[in-house]
This record gives sequence, structure tokens and C-alpha cells, in this order.
Amino acid sequence: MNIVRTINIISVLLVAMATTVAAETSISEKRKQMAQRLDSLENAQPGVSFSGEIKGGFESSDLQSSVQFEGPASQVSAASQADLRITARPTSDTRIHADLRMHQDWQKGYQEGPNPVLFNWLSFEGQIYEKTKFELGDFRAYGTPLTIHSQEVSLMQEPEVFTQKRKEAMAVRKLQGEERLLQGLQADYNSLQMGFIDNIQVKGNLTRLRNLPKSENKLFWDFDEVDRYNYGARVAVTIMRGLQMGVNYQTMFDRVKSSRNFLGTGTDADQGAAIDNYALKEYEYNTVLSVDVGANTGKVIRNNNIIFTVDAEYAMSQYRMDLDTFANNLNTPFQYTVIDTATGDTSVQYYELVEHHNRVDTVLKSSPEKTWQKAVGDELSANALWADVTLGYRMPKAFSVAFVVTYLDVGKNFTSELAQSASYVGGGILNVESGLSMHSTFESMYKNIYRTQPLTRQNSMVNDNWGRVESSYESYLYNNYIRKQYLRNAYTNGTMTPYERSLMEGATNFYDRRVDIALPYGKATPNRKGLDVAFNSTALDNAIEVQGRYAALEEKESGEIQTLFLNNYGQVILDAPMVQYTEMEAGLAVHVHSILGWEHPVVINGAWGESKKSHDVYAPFAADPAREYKVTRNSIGLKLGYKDRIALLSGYQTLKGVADYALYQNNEEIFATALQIKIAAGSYLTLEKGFLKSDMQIATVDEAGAVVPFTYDYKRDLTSASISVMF
Amino acid sequence: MSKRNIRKTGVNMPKRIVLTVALLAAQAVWALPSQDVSQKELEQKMERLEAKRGVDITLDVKSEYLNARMDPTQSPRGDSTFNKENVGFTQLDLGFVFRPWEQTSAKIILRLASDYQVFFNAGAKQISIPWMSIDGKVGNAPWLVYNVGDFRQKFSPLTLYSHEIAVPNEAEIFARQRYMAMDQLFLGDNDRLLQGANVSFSKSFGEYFSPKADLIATSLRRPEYLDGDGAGGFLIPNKEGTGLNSNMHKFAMGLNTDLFTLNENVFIGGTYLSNFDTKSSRTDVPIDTIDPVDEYRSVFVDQDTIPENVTVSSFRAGVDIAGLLKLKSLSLDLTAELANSKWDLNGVDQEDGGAMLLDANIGFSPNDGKLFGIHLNTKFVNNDEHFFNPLAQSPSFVPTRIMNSDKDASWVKYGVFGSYYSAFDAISHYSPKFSPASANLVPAELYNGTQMTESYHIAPYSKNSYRNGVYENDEINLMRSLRDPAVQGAMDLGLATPNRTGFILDGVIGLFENSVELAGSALQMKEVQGDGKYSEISGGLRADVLGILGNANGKKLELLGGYTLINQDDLVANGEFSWINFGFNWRFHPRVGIQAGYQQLNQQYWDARKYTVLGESVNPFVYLSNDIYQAEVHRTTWFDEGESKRWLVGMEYYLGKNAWVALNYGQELVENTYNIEFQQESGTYAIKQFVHQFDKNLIEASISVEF
Repeated sequence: MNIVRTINIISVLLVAMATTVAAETSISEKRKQMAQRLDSLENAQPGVSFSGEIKGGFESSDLQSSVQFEGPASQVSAASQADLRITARPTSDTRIHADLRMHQDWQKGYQEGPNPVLFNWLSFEGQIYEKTKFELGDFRAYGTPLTIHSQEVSLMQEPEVFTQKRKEAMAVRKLQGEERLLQGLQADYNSLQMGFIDNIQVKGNLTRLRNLPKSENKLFWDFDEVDRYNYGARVAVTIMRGLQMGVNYQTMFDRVKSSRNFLGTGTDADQGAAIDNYALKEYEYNTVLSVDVGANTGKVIRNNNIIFTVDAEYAMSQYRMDLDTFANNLNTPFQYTVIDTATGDTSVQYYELVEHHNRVDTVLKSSPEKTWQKAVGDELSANALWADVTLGYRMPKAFSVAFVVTYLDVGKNFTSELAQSASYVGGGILNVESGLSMHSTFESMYKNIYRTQPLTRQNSMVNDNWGRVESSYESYLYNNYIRKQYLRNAYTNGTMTPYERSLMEGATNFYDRRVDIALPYGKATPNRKGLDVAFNSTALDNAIEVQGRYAALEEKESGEIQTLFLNNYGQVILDAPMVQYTEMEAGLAVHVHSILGWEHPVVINGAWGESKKSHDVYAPFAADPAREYKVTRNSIGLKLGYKDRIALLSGYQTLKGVADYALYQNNEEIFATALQIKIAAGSYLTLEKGFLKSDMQIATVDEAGAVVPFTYDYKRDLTSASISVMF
Repeated sequence: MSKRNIRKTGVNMPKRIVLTVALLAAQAVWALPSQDVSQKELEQKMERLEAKRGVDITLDVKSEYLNARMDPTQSPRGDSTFNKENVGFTQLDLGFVFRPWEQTSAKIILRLASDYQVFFNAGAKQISIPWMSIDGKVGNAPWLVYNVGDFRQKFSPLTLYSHEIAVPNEAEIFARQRYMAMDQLFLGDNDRLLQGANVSFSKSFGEYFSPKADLIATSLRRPEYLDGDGAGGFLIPNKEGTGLNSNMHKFAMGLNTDLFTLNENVFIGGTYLSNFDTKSSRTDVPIDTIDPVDEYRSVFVDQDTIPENVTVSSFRAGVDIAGLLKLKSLSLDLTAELANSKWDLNGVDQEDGGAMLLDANIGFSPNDGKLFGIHLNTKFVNNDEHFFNPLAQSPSFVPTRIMNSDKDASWVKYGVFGSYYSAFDAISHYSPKFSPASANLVPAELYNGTQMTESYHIAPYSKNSYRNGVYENDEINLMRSLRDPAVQGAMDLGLATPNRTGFILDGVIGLFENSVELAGSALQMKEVQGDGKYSEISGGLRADVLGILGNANGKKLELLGGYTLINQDDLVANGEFSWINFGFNWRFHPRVGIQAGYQQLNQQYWDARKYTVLGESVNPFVYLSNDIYQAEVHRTTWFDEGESKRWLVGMEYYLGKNAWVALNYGQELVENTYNIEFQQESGTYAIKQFVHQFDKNLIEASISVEF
């Protein structure tokens, strides 16, 4: 068969490539090249090819709690699910990817309507003369940390059994790594060697971020009231193999004209009852311009055992929000004040001009003309800077050591939408039907539920107190032939506008911030200043890994409103408290089999971490325990394997402490142990058992209005079995 | 390239890449936690490549156009309703079998359906996934086979089985229609279709020891909340206690073992099945009790709140005497099965039942049946009234009105009691994507929730009498009370039908290499508990004239005729039902032929078949007549007698078994008499008789191709 032959030829080339370039390029670049080659290997098949994965199995969660709850205690998802990627290659340089997702919950109790196929990726990509790559449709965008970036949750030495689960949940949203998912066009030109210049890169993107609803169908909320776009570019030059400088520009904006096509759902309260306000829209404008530099001396001096790199980026951002209302035009020229001569009362009457071919008439109207009226907001500007210095040395087959020191200085109003949209949000996944208020970071990070079920009044619309839909607007869904794919997943691949981000950050009961507390958006996290030092070393030919990290950051400006305080000297001053962030992490991994020279893997890894968020010394804050947040994480993981055929993965993690206002304390634990048997290449049988436990103390308000803590706990037993086949 | 070579190169190839990846892994120290492609991701890409072992694509194309026109004498809903229904669709089942030559393969069937219309619907054709499975085997001559996802399995008629209706002496022109309707749901071979996991073991350790074992674990229902109109669940009405939705997760597990010995001529075996609701998954959602659309209709949804548990165990043994004696032209075998069921409604109600089946075959066909062969099968059944096993008893046929259902709208759900029910229609027709029109379909702005998007009425559903579900006790009882005795006979739930004792005898004589077949059957049953009595007798002759003459070269001239008489006398249905069948199939060219069929069904109920299962609150027969409907008072209705005939004639282009192109024309002529007892204004009850006579003209064009 052709496919096999092609793969054979390319694999020979790959071996050649890997050995000849090894001296010149770094491992990470080689990996990237390798991955690209493997991708191109997949793409090298002429015509149409199919790939993907099909999975079948069940996952159950049984809930016990110290408090009474009415809903069901057990929840089972039993289903088959397939992700099918169809790749077509119309020419040797271009290809089209279409991804289909199929999901079938197991049940034979009754006939359900047709089970729909979800279509979640369509892209056309390729290259022109090998130097220009382009992607049209869905694409993964990559840029600098301050312009285009998606922050993946990072946990040092996370046990593999959990990493797999997290990646699985992210894959449902098509997330992988730190690339941002966008739709539109991306083109990337690389000149490659041109005289003394190693490379000139010119890259551009044009994307649509949001769309308006197209009719009055408002059953779902997957649209916005504005029409939002983005475009940007990067120009970069690389010389002497390791010196690089780039300029980046991204701008995000709402189109006013098309947004006004749709009258939104603003209320009078938005603008005060005086204006008969029909709609309110926010238009947001955000522009980021950045310069990045990078120097890799390792490449310049061509010593593979020393690494010394300096990377930095400086960015300037602008942000503005305009408010647009569709309201009575009180300044209409065609209004008259009419005085009733008998009573002396006055009233206003409005007229409209109607044009005929030979004259203009005035027609009396009952109310003033409504027009769109835009109020232009204030322009907010801010700067951001980060600089990384990496220094490392290795002695092949013995040890390696590397330090990364990062300096950050990001303004409070620094705004960069494509770098500051969270990919991990949080939210309840398991046993939601129980009605019990549960808050678990581990649940959100590691679990996800996907199902198809009939779309009915009962599960899709607003109910009255009796669970029925009232005969009003909401009752128009009488349908159960349509099956809808529902998912509970804490990850998102959408972008949030800066205004939405500010709203979400305030929603502490929903937005989970118990991980990555100091830098939720990585280097683009606004209002941070300080140092972050990471240490990474290996010994005994990679058999032992030791990692550490220490970060000391504080706000550049206080996020709080200024109030009167008593300072340390007893003076009354007007000030606002500043927040300090301290993060410490340490991790260790021991590859026992490497030390002892065993064929069968035995790996133990563990980590400890503490994230602290504290306010400075003002007495009212120092005394308030809700303002002193501290989250401690412990983890331990184990992997036992028999060749690559059987693996027993086990992990235990705890997360203790307070991270936001709504919670006083939440001590959670997760345990999982999974047996994975490789039936054939890409085909696994997985059996898993574990639990998820929380001791919670939440703030409640008593009848007198005083805040009192309420304590409860819950435990969920998790069992799952599945079989998967890659193709 | 042969399969063997593919595998050979397939193994060599990845090794080389593995080497490369390993080289990289050895130098992987440098990777700081960054945006790089990780070693793990690289390995996954590798594995994905390694896992590619081709794809096998299967296609099953079906296209049918059916036009049914009826002009009834009395129309309960007046003359404004549609007289004509056109079903026209093309359907492609696109099957992908990934890694088809591997030990583990994956199968997905995508069903692409398209109606014959290019007006509204052109932009939104439907794709659904009726099948998704992972199938694996272990060993070159596989001794272990497993399936995850959709799978089909059967153990024995009393344990895990799907009973399918049989129409004796059915002409091929009608049999094809039935095949098309059943194939929509992948029904066939009496396999039960389930979703979950199935593991089958089978290995021979020599002459004396060949064990077989099967293990199933399936999810039968999940908690979810169906809409009040009920049509998304069953197209049948609810009665007290019948759950048309589910609010508990229901599972079934089963173990089946058979031990064969003496060259697999003697066996003993047993099965254990457990079918249970998980109480802790119960999710209550209050549901409307008033239908917002039509105040005269109630919403037939009750919550199923009590967990139901059923366990079934069976023991069986069999001997193939002819096999033991190594007699080639003689067949002589005997099997016996005893089953026991325990039904428990969480302690609220509990019943134990038993069932017995004896099956004997005797046959003689000398010289491989070249000149003649005779085969006799006799079964003895003794199932008590409490024998309950949903995995064997859930019916695959629930008589349902199919064509011209708009004529009486949602009363279709009353099945045999619906005013325009005809057995022929229920058996033969189906509409995969039926979109009932609503009077409320107004392209206006929404203002009080009743307009614009009553999408229940415009969204499609599938009209079909055939089912592949597994039901609960009261659901099965409800379906039985709505059964069509003329089609389903005495054994409406197959050999596992509860409350039956008696025998079934089938015989067939074949002549001239089965070119002539003379078949007969007899059934004599009575209720174990109660006075019900059943008898059925049937005889038929099929003769291929060209076959008798020999040397047919793919041509045939087949004539078929038969008569069946069914007598039933129990509380649900009693009367006499007779079938006359004729068939004609002249394939004058190996690919081209003419087909014709005629069927006549006479139904005479001795005593009123009363529709009382619904109680007082709902009675479909008020819609038989506008007068009675106006009176708004009703009590009891019964079906008195009926006469139905149909004929169909057409041309065919024959491609092979289950593959053809045909163009047919025919008629269905039905006359049914009903009686309604109703309350007059004076307060006294009176009986009124209605004769519903309707004719349907059918134009049918069908294509079925599988490859």
C-alpha cells in the first residue's frame, strides 16, 4: 500500500534528519521539526484520509455528604464517543481538515430522535513555495506572551494519571498547549537564509471574534450583541543564528454599524428611567503594540552544553469602551411644546418629515424619534515589560542544571485580549443534579462530562417554582426530537473581552482561582511587578529531576478603592492596600528503572507548593482572615509499567486553603489509580478507581446579618472503565 | 499487496521512527517547561501513525418513494385534513471500519438522510450516528471476541433474544417492504441490540470439552426528561404507572455459559441475567400535567419512581442424536430450557415466574435433498403468567399507524385502536423522517409562546412499527394490550410469552432441491392462569416452475399461495382472523422480473375488544366521530370486525439478496367497524356503530443497495 511505503521513506529521512542536525539545533527545535515531519507524514497521503479516536466506557460518581441533599447521589455517564478527522489534499501543498464528533449515550429504553453529529473544526491550510504557510478557517494562533497566548494550568510534577485527565478535558475544547484557537486567516512568511540574515518572518492574522444573532431565535447564548474582529501582524528578523528582534501588533474592535442591526436587551435601569432606553451595547477597542528581543548565546557560540539566553518583550496597550444606546432622541428638531390655553398645561408633540416628490409633509407622531446614541469612553493606556534570563549547564550522561529568572512589570490597565483570555475557568462537573453546593478545583480541572440528550422544555429553559415552564416566552420549546450535545467542561477556547474578563474575575463563586493565583494569564497578567525564579536540574542521566520555583510579585497599583487608614505611626492617611503574591514550589521525580537499569518503568514524582496572596500592613486588612489567602498543594504520583504494554498510574493530590471571598476554607483531596493495558498500538483498556473529597467552610449570613462560617464535607467515589482505539 | 505484506511492512516502519524518537528522548534534558512539543506529544503522534491500519468503507443506500392516498367515508377530523402522504427519501448508511484487519477495530455508521424536496430543507440535511462500536478479537482463530458500544447478541429464546414477527407465505414484494423497515433499526437474526460491553469466549479443547461463555454489561436507560407529548419516547399512550421517561439509570448484566462435549453434539448451559435500576441515580423533574397546546389532550407522562429489578436464570441441555450417530441425511435433535424470573418493584410488588421450552427437530433429506426433504419441528411451551424477562420479551414490533397519520394527528399513538389502523400499513411501511405540520406554524413574531416555534410539530421523527428497545414490565403490558392479534398471534412476545402452555408444530416438505416447498404449521395454546385459548393453523405452497424444470440460469417463475387461520380468546383480544396470501415472481431475465402479491385479512371479533386500558380519562374513539366528540362524553369503545385487502404489482431490477430497484403500484382496501358506548344528554348510555372504510392507493419506488 502507498501509505506504508511513503511512511517508510519518510521515516528513513527522519532518522537522517535527526542525526545530521543534532549538533546545530536545540532539542526543542528538533522536537518541533520532528512533530512537523510526523504531521507532514500524516498529510503525505494523497486524496482523503481518516484519523481519530473512538472511545467507549462508563464513568460513575457516587456522592456522600455531611449535609442532606435532595438530588441523586449517583451519576453515571455510559457512552461511546468518536472524534473523526477527515483530511483531504486537493493539491500536494494544501489540505482541508474537517473534524466530526459523535457521541452516543447508551440507552435502549426508548427511541430517541436522530443523534446528531457535531462538526467542530474546518480548516484549509497549506503552503505557497515552501516559504509562506497559511491557514484559513479554524486555526491555532501563536504569538508572544503579551500579544497572543493562552495560559495552560501549570502544576509542577503533576501525577501523570491526572495530566491525562486534564488533557482529555481540554481536548474536548480542542485546547492543547498554549496556542490560542481563532477563526479567520493566518499567514506566515519566512524568508530563511538571506545573506547574513538567518530569517525574516512576516506574519499576519485576520479573525472574527464574535458574531451577531441572525434572527429572533434566542434559545441559546452562543452569540454576542456586537460584531467583533481582530487583525494583527508580526515582523521579526533573526541574525547570527541566535539574535532575534520582532515587532508585534494586534487590534480588537467592534463594528458599530453591523452591531446596530440587532437591537439588544438593555433595560431602562442601565441608563436611568428618564430615557426610554431600548438597547445598550458596549463597544470595546483594544490595541497592543510590542517589541520583543531574544538572544541565544548557545547558538552563537555553538556549544551544546551551555545555555545562556535572554528574552524580553515590551508592550504598550490602549483600551476604550464606548456605550451605545438606542433611545429617544430628545433633541429632535421636529418637536413642539403645545400649551393648552384652557388649563395652561404644556405637552411636547413630535413630528416626522415625510418627503413626497414635490413637497414635504409633517406627520404627527406619538413619541420622539429613537436613535442610536454613542457615548465615547475614556482611553486607558498602559505598558508591560518582561525579561527572561536562562542560564544552564549540562554534562552529558551525568547532570544538568538550569535557572530561569523572569522580571515582570505589567501596568494595572495593561489590556491584551488575545493574551488575557482564560482557558481554564472552573465550574461544577459531577453530581450537579444533587443540588449540593460544591466547589472543587480538582473536579473542574480533571473531570468533564459530555452527553447527548433530547432538548426539551425541562432541560433547556427557565422553569417556574414547580419545575414547569410557564406559558410565556420560555414555553415555546415543545421539542424532543432534537437531541443536543451538552457538555460540562471547565475549559474554554473562546476569547473574553476586557470588560467580560473584569466581570468574570469578580464572580468568585464561578471563576476558579485556586491554581495559578499569581499569574493567571502568564506574563500578560495585569498589575504585577516582581521576580519569578525557576530552577530545573537532572542527575544520573535524567533519572532524577529536581525542580523549584520562587515568585515574589506585587501589584503595581492597588486594585482597591482608596479609604482612610491608620498607618504604623498612628497617622490617619488616605490610601489603598496593595496585594503581594508569593509562590513557592518544589518538585522531585525519580525514574527508578533508569537508575537500576530496568526495562519496566518505575517512576515516582511529587511536589509541594504554596501560593500566598496578602495585603500590606494596614490593620483592618491584616486582621481580616478572608483577605489573607493561602493555598497549599501537595502531590505524589507513581507509575509502574510492564514494557509499554501495561501501566499502573496512581496519584494523590491535596489543595488546602482559601483563595477567594466566598470560601473560608476548602481542603480538597483527589486520588486516582488507573490500570492501562495496551491492547494494540493506539488501543487501550483503562480501569480507574478514585475519590474526590472536600472539607469546606463557607461564609453564610445569619438572621441578624452577621457572617457565620458553615462547615460541611463531601466525598465522591469515582469509578470508570473504558476502551479506546486510535485510527 | 496482500494483507500479510501490509502487516509486515507496517511493523518494520514504526521501528525506525521509534528509534528516532528514542534518540530525541535521550537528549531531552534540555526541555524546560515551555511551549515546546513535549516528548510525550511526540510519542503520541508516533503512536497515532502506528495505529493507522487502513479503513474499510461500507455503503448501504436506500431510497423509497411511497405515495398513499386515502378517502375515508367518515373522517373524524372533517375533510380539511390531508388525504395524501408522500414519503420520499434517500438514505445512505456510510460505514467506516477503522483498522479492519487488526485485533481491535472501530466501526461508525453515519446515516445521511435526505428528503425528496429542495424547498425549505435544502440547507439542512440530517446526519446521525445509528451505530458506533469498538470490536476486538484475540487469537488468529479468535477465541475471545469483545464489543464496546453498540452490539448485537442473543443467548436463547427465554433469556436474551429479540422476537421478530413472521408472516406465513408472504410474497417477496411485501417481504421486501418489511425488510426495509426492520433494517432501519438493524433488526434481524433475532439478535437483541444493546449498548455497553459484550465479551464472548469460545474455544474447543478437543472432542470432549468445548466451553463457550458470554458476558454482557449494558446501560438500558439514563435519567433524562422527555417532553410531555411523549412522542419522543413511545408513540403509544401512557397508563397509570407507565414510565414513558426515565429518571433512574437502568443497567443489565448477564452471563451465559454453554459446555459442549462429544464433538459438540451434547451440551449443557445456563444463563443469569440481572436488569436493575440504580436507586441513587433517581432524578425527579416535575412535568406538566396540562398540555398547553390542546386542552382536550392530557400529557401522558408519569414519573417512573420505583426501582425495578429483574433477575432471570435459566438452565438448558441439548443433544443432537443424528450428529452422535453420524447420520448425514437424517436430522434429529432435542433441546430443553427451564427459566426462572424474579421481578421486584423495590419490595412494593414482587413476582416469581417460570418458563419451559422443549424443542425437537426431525428431518430426512436423502442425497442432500436433491429429490426431496422433509423437516418437522415441534415445540412445547409452558410459561407461567409471572414469567418476566425484558431482554427476551421486549417486542420488536409494536403495531403503529404509519401512512396518512396526519389524517388523525396524534391519535396514531393508539396503534390498533386508531381509526385508520391497518395491519398492512403497520407491517410494511415506514417513514424515517416524518415532519408533521402544525396549524400553528406561523412565520410571525413570537408573542405568547404559541406561535412560530412549536418546533415539536415541525421537527422530524421516525415513524416505524419496529423497535429495538428494552422495556419495563408495565410498558410491556401496555404494548400487549395494544397488540394486533392478527399479526402477532398467540405468541406475541415470542417463545418467552408469559401465561402460555401448549405446542407448536411446523413442517415443511421440499421437492426438487426445494424448488417446491409445501409448508404447514399448527399451534395450540392456552393460558396457564385464566381461560384464554389460542389456536393457529397455516398451510402454504411455493413452487418455482423453472426450478422444477431445472437449469434455470438465475431465472425463476415462482408461485406462492397460503392460508392462515388464527383463533384467540382472551381478555385482551378474542376473535377469528384469517389471512389469504398469493405471490407471483417471474424473473424472465436473471436481472429483470415482474412481481405481484395479494393479501387478504379478515377479522371478526366475537366479543368486544374493549379499549379500557387507558381508564376513563382518555379514549381515542371519541375522535371517530364529530358528533360524539361534541358530546364530550365517552366510556368504552370496541373494535367489531374488519376486512382488509391489498395488492401490489411491479417491475424489479434484481441485483442480489437485499439489493434491488423496484417500481410498484397497488391498493389497500380497508373496512373496519367500531362501536362506541356513550352517555347521552339524558344521562343514559347508548351504543353507536361506525363503519370506517378507506382505500389507499400506493405508488412505490424503492432502491436498496449494500456493498
